[in-house]
Amino acid sequence: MKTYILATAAFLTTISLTTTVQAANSEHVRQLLATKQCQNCDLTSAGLVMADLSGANLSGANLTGANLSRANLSGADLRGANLSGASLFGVNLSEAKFSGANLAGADLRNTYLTNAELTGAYLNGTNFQGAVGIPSQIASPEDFYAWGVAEAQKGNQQQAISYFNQAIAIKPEYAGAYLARGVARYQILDRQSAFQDAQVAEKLFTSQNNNPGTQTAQAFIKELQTPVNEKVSTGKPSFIDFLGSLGSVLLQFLPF
Amino acid sequence: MSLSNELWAANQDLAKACLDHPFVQGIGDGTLEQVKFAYYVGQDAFFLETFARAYSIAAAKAPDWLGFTTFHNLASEVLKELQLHSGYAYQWGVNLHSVEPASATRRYTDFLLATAWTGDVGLTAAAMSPCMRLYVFLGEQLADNGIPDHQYADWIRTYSSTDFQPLAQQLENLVDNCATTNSVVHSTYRYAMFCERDFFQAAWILEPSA
Repeated sequence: MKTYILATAAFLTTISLTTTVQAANSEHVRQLLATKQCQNCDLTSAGLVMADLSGANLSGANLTGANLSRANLSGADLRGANLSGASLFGVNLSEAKFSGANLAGADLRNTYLTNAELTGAYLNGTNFQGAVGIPSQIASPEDFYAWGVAEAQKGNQQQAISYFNQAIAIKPEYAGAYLARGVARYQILDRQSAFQDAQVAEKLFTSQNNNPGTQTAQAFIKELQTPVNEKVSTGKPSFIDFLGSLGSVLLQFLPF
Repeated sequence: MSLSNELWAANQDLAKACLDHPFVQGIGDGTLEQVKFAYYVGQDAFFLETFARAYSIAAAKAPDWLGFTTFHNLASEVLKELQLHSGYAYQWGVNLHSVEPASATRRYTDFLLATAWTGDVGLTAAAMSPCMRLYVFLGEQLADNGIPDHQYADWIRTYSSTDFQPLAQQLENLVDNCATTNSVVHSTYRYAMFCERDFFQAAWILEPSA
């Protein structure tokens, strides 16, 4: 009999658990849209795609798994909100407040983060790729470097250069970032700036006793010194081949 | 009683409030100020664009092909209705491309989109149904003694026509087939009815943009 009760209890628990995974409280969704005031609301898995929520008060709200793609959350108060697993792709988050918010595993790709307050937010596994205006205190130079390499591989050299700039701004002795920025500049035919970056990279690699780094930078400098019209007759593998495997070469400079 | 009829019956107070609203009565007897009607045409065009989007979201979410094609066709009908509006707009001197939504419009459209993105197709159909059913009702009531001969006759003719009624019916069939009777469906339907009433009120008082 006891076993039967336990089994029933377990069964009922399962049922109530599955019902709690239900979507947002629809009255809370309406309240949010009508008033932009929704402190501590239950907005779990709410569909708020492209919604205008600028300046909304969502502090302490539960937005777990919500879909906010391309919504406008500029200036929104999201302090202490739970956004774990939420999709915020392409969202305008400029001047939004996130202190104490949980953004674990949230998708913040292509967001606008200018003046967003992310200090004190929980950012484990948050995806910031392609985001504009990422505050330097929330990402490591290596993060910026990796995003830059990813953008360069997609052919977005300007975006890549912007990431390498951010990596260098935080870590001025980041030789790999100089080299990578030089290559990206080379790809958009800015040979002069590329050359300057290559020289800085070589100097830094040498002072850091990084032989592969020094050699790569030197190969790059040699390529940049070779006049364009002589390239066809060199017979040697040119730096173009090096560029062909750009990602893998640059990625080896990631750890430092 | 089918769910769609049950929902409509439960909201007769708001249906009557819409019919008795001075804006609707003004359309009925032709006395509505033209500036208010022009305002309404612009807001309604903005609303209908969202209405079409909500249909398309529901179409994409529909679990079966019949649901998809029905929502898709209903979206096409909205596009036709929008063309009718561009004719109106010209007639009433409204530039549909520069319409800024009023608060009441925005609240209604945001609610429909959020419902479509969040809910299943049954709930979305329930949120969209009041608009269609109410306009059938208003068209019928205003054309009760024949379509009058005044400046708003086209509006009454459109919504009392035998072309419009089947569209409302198709949407209600989706409510009956896809939605279940529960408090969320009831409250969603009623909220849309409130939005309809407030939409007329906003046009009546020429509510400023949101």
